[in-house]
This record gives sequence, C-alpha cells and structure tokens, in this order.
Amino acid sequence: MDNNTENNIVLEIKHLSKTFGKNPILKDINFNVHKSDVTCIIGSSGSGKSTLLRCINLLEFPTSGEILYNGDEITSNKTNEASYRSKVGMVFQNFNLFNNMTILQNCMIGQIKVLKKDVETSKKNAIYYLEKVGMAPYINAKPRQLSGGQKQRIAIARALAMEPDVLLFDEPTSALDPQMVNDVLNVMKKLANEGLTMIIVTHEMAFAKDVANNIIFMANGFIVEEGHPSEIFVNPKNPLTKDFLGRFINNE
Amino acid sequence: MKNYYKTKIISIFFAFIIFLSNTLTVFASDIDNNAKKTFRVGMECGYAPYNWTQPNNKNGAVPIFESSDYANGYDVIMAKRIADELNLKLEIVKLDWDSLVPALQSGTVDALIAGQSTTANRKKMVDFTEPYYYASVVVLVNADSKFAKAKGISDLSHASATSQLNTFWYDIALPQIPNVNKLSAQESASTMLAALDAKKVDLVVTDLPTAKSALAAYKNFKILDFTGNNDNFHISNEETNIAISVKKGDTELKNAINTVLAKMDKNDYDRIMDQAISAQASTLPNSFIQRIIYILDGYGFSFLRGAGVTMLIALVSTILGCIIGFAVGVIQATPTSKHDPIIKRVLLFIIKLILNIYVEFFRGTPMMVQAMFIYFGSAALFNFNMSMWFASFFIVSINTGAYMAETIRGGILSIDPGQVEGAKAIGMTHVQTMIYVIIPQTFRNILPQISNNLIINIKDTCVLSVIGTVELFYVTKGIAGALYTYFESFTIVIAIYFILTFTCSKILRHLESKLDGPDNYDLATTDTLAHTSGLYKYSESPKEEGL
Ligand SMILES: Nc1ncnc2c1ncn2[C@@H]1O[C@H](COP(=O)(O)OP(=O)(O)OP(=O)(O)O)[C@@H](O)[C@H]1O
Ligand SMILES: [Mg+2]
Repeated sequence: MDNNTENNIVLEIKHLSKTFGKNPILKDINFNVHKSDVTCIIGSSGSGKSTLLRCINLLEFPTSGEILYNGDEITSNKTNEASYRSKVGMVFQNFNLFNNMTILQNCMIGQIKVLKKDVETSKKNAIYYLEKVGMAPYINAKPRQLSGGQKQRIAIARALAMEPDVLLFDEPTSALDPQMVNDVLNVMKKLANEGLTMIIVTHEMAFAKDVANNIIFMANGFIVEEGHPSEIFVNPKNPLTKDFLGRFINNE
Repeated sequence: MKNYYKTKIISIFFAFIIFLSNTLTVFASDIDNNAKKTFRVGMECGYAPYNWTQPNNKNGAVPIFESSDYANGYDVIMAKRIADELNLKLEIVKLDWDSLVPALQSGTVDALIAGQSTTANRKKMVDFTEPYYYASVVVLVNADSKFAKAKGISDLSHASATSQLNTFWYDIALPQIPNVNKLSAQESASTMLAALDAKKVDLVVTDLPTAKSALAAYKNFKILDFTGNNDNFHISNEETNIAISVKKGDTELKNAINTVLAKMDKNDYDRIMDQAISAQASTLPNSFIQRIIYILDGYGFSFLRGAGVTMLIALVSTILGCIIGFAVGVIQATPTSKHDPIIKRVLLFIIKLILNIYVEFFRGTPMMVQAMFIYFGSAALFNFNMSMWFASFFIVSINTGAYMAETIRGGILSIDPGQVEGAKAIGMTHVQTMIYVIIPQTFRNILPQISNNLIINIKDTCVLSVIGTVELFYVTKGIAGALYTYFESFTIVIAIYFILTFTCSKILRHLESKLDGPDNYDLATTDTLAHTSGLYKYSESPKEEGL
C-alpha cells in the first residue's frame, strides 16, 4: 500500500478546520486516503475525531479548508451533497437504523430511492450484504427487536449495500457489550481484507494495530502524529502519542 | 318576544363587514329571472309552535333548505301564504337564533319569519312589517302548585321564577311579579319548561302560544292567563307584537308582505295559531321510557342522519386536517443553515411566518366565531355564497390543521436526530428523509393525538349549528324544540355521542397496535445447502416504500 501515485488518492483533506461558535475544534487537518487504505483515527475523548469524520461526510460543514474526493472539491458544491454521501457512507456509534422499517427494508431503501435500483435487485443485494455480516436470517425483524451487536452489523450491511467507495466508522463498537464487539470487529476485518477503503475512529487499539495501514493520532484538534501502525505503536515520536499509547499498553 | 342583546354585537360586527363590502365589491345581481323568484325565509325550526322541525311532510310541512327534514308551525303556514300570494318560490332556511339577523343582513335570506318581537333594538338592525301575531304574556305553573289558583300577578309574590334568556318575558315581565325570586334565565324555551317540570322553579313566564303547546308535552302544567285583569303584566305593544323582518331598506319586499297581511285580522291569526298547535305532535306518551321510544320512533332516522353528518364532517375534516397539519408541520420543522442560498432562506422565512400566523390565528379564536365569520362574512364581503357543507368541512379541517401542525412539528423534532443522520449518510435528500423515515415515525408517535383530535371533532362539530349545519346536535335541538322533550332528546343524543366516540377510540387503538407490527419476528429459513442470495423466504413481502 505504499503506492502514492496521484490517481490512487480517493480522499484528500487540506487545511481543514472547524469551529463551533468561538471554539476551534479542528485545526489545519491534512491527510490523504488512498484506495483500499484502512485509516484508523485514535486519540483521547474530545480531541475532535468524530467532528473530523462528520466533516468528511458533510454532516458538519467545515469552517475552512478543502475536501477533495477523487480530485473534486466537494465543500463548495452543495448540490451534490447527497450523491457524494452515497459514495462515502458512514456507520455510527448508535447504529441509527430506521426504526419504522424492517431489517430488509433498512438495507433496501437507499438502493431504491437514492441509487434508483429496482426492488428485486435491491433485495438480492441487501441479502447478499446481510449474509456477509451474518444477519440474513433477521430480515423480517424490526431494529427494536435486536441486540446492539446485531444492529451494528446491520448498519454496516446497510452502508455496504450502497456499494460506497469509502466507508467511515465512528466508534462502531463503543456502545456494545464486550462479547458483541468481536462480532462487529470480525466483520470489519473481513471488509478490510476484501480491500474496502475505510476510515475508522476507534478506541480498540489491538484492532487498529492489526487492521490499519495508516494510523492518525489526534489531540486538541490537531493531527499530532500519522504513520504506519508498526511505527506509531512501536516507536511513537511525539510525547502526547507516547503518553496516550502508554495508557493503552498498560491496559493490555 | 325574544330580544337578544348578543345579536346586537354580532350585528355591529357584520355591519362592519357590510361597510367593507360596499367599498369593495361590485354586486352581481338578479341571476334567475327565468323561473319563479325564490323567497328565502330564515327561522330556527326549533321554536314551537312558531316553527319546528319534523321528519316528514305531514300537516303541510315544507322541506328545509339543504336538509332532508321538514319545517312546520305558525311561521311556516304564514310563509307559505305570503309566498303563494306573491307568486314566489318558498325556501325555508334553518338558522340558529343568533344567526338570524346576521343572515338577513348579509343577504343569505330575504326575510325572517321567526316569532321575532318588534323591539327597539332590533328595529335598528332590520325593517319590520306590520305584526303577524299578537302574543300575550301568561304564566305556566305545575297544576299541583300552591300558585295554581292565582287570580293575578300579586298572588304570585315570593314565587321562584325563570324564563328564557334575553327575552322580554324574563327582562320586563317577570320582575313585575312582587317580591319574585328571579332565578337565572334558561337558554331556550325547552330548557325553561324542563326546569318547571323538574320543579326547580315555581313558575315560568312565557307567551300564550308557547304555553299552549307546552301543555302537549307536559300534561301536569297549567296556564294562568290574566288578560283583561288589571292585576296583569304591563307590557308595551312593541314587545307583544310579533312581526316579519326584512333587510334594512328593502321597502319593496316589506310593502308586498304588508299587502298580504292586510287581508287577515287578529281572529285569523288566532285560528292559524291553533291550527299550528294542534299540528304539533300532541300525542306524547307520559312515561320517560315511552317518550324515548316515541321520539326514536318518529325521529330515529333524523338522529341517524345527524350522527352520519357529524361523523362525516369529523372524519373527513380530521383527515384533511392531518394532511394540512403534516404539510405545515414539516415546513415549520425544516432546518435552515447559513450555507443555504439566500433566496431559499428568505422564502422559507416568509412561508414559515405566514404559516405561523395561520396556526396562531385559528388556534387562538373560537371555532364558533370563525364559523360565523367565514360563512356569513364570505357572503357579505365577497358576495360568495359558500355552501353550508363547504363551510363546515373547511372550518373544522382548517382548525384541526392548526392544532395538528404544532403537534406534528413537535413530533418531528422529538425524533432522534440519529434517524436523519442515518438517512443522510446513505445519500437520502431532505425530502426523501422526511417521506420515508421521519414522517412515518412521527405519524406513529402522534397517532394517539390524531385519535384525540377525531374525538374532539366529533363533539365539537356541534358548534356548526350556528351556521345551520344539520349535524347531530342541531338535529337534537330541533327535535327537543318541536316536542318540548328536552331531557328525553338529550338522553338519546348523549348516548349516541358516546357510542360514536367510544367506537372511534377503540378502532384507532386497534390501528395503533396494527402499525407496530407483531411483537416477535420469524427467522427467515434457508435451504441448508444453497447459500446463494435470494433463497430466503419471507414471512411477509417487504414493502417497497419501507413504511
Ligand atoms: N455541535 C457542537 N457544538 C459545539 N461543540 C461541539 C459540537 N460537537 C462537538 N463539539 C465539541 O467538539 C469537541 C470535539 O468533539 P468530538 O465529538 O469530535 O470528540 P471525539 O474526539 O469524537 O471524542 P470521543 O472520543 O469522546 O467521541 C468537544 O469538545 C465537543 O464538546
Ligand atoms: Mg466521538
């Protein structure tokens, strides 16, 4: 994955910053995501990880800076927001499954209404991805009838069914019981192996170390250190990174 | 005889509208000169023996305009005679007492033949013909009362007494009884008689025709008529003279009616009044249960029709109101960000402002007042004679919409913002998110509120009686007034209202649990060997819309 040629870059974040009111939350963020990269964003609570992810998905509007998707600047072009989002999907900490729909409908609605696929194709596709996350038998259930781990796997299937170029994950396992965490992480590992481009905000350091090919460490709205897990986890350069990872190593 | 001061306020209000209309409108006039011209006469059709409602055309009753009931009584007989002599086509328009004068002023009717006395106040608002009846004042007591043998009004001293609200019976005659214990006035003649029957009072003061026809319903009553005795009420002619009214300045019609009245004298009037009183149902049974059966037998179909109208207005208006409410609520809940184009923000701001005014106005004023304003106002102001049906649906829908808008706005705001983000994250637009995700959930959440509104509407359609909508309450008032069977008629109608609301609330509760779907789900089965997609069997076919 060391191929840095221009045409391989899917997302390019340039000088991105975000303020809420008078509070600067993100400060001059720069990084690139290449095709099939698994980028893990780590950092302490409040460091701005979620905000960064939400800016990339345009759920929050960056105060300044640029986001280039396949070379196109997307923050200046409001009209294509929805179609951009269908290419850059997002999985949330709290799943956000549609409560009024069954599992199958959850995975079909975007395909039918956004991608304008016909019902039969959408259904096949939905079931294909539900099988992939091991949730196919639950197609007739409603979200409220399922456990957190099951819901998160369905949320992943729903995002996958849109066949996005990039999938963003915001702490997908932190609302889950420990035994369910592995179900979800295993699904994500599988996707990484299949070559899906992912940006993952996580507190699961072992997972990040294992799956990521790029780690971004954030503190106070800055990217403090970025690099391959073999460098960051083994030989962190910044004292803040050392301090943060020290806690993680002690925990292990 | 009736002398409503409220009417004055309403009339000032309509005079204002008429003033506006004169400055605004060019009136289109005289549309039909081909056929017989119509003679639209307004009356209560619930004020026996002058006028009442009956379910059939017995004894020469006349169909009521936009209703399947018939009107009869002294006023109807007189109206028929006038229409015949003037070669006009008679149309009887049933109106609430308070709406009579406004209807005349706005041109909804041509004349009022409604047992009105020629009071000075009323003379300021309408033009009166010569009297078409002279109503002497009498006292009604229970035959077994200690006052039954009174020879003059001084024998009635210290009696507790009442009469009908805003009538000269109550305001002028009753206080002439020495040391009288004047109780608060009753809303209608039927309630006044019911109070006497229940011995809440010793006596009521009324006029001779009312008293005579009351005897048909209340066999235990006795009339005390002190006419010719010095110890009687002192009442001016202005009060006892009953006359027909026409719109102020309509001299042509007034003179035409006067020529007809000139051909009759007081004896003719008394004879016609007796004819009216005997035409009024005079064979009422005595016991409560038998009377209920009697009423149901004669008027059962009228009750059913009234209930049907009530349900139709309530149901249709609740549905229309919900549609309005959803439209308004969704717009009100539309977020704006400073990244939107300025035109969109300004436009949305203006629309939201207008909708806000709509919601606040209709929530903030009584539906009864709106009904009067819209129904009569549209005729006076824009010369637009909207049908009573249109007005009814319009008023109730627009009110329900105003209430629902706020409920729905709140309902939308209370949906977890994660639902919107989930939809955005798969590329759905704001409109798609609303239609497929937010509105279905809001609808489910506010369903109890919708059913609440339906029940309120079933009950509140009764205020439409002010514009003469023939809904359940109006029908009941007519029946109670025609037979003087107040308590019995309202016993029936309270049962009907309860059955209607109770049934609706049960049906909607059932719908709620239906919408929630089953409590448990079936696992889809798969052929053990074939793991290919699409081989799962579904217990129910998924709907495309995802609702
Ligand atoms: N809508 C908002 N308005 C104002 N401040 C906000 C808003 N959203 C986030 N913040 C602030 O931005 C900062 C960063 O928040 P963010 O959620 O991005 O942190 P995080 O790194 O994801 O933390 P965690 O690990 O706890 O999820 C926090 O101080 C938070 O209070
Ligand atoms: Mg976060």
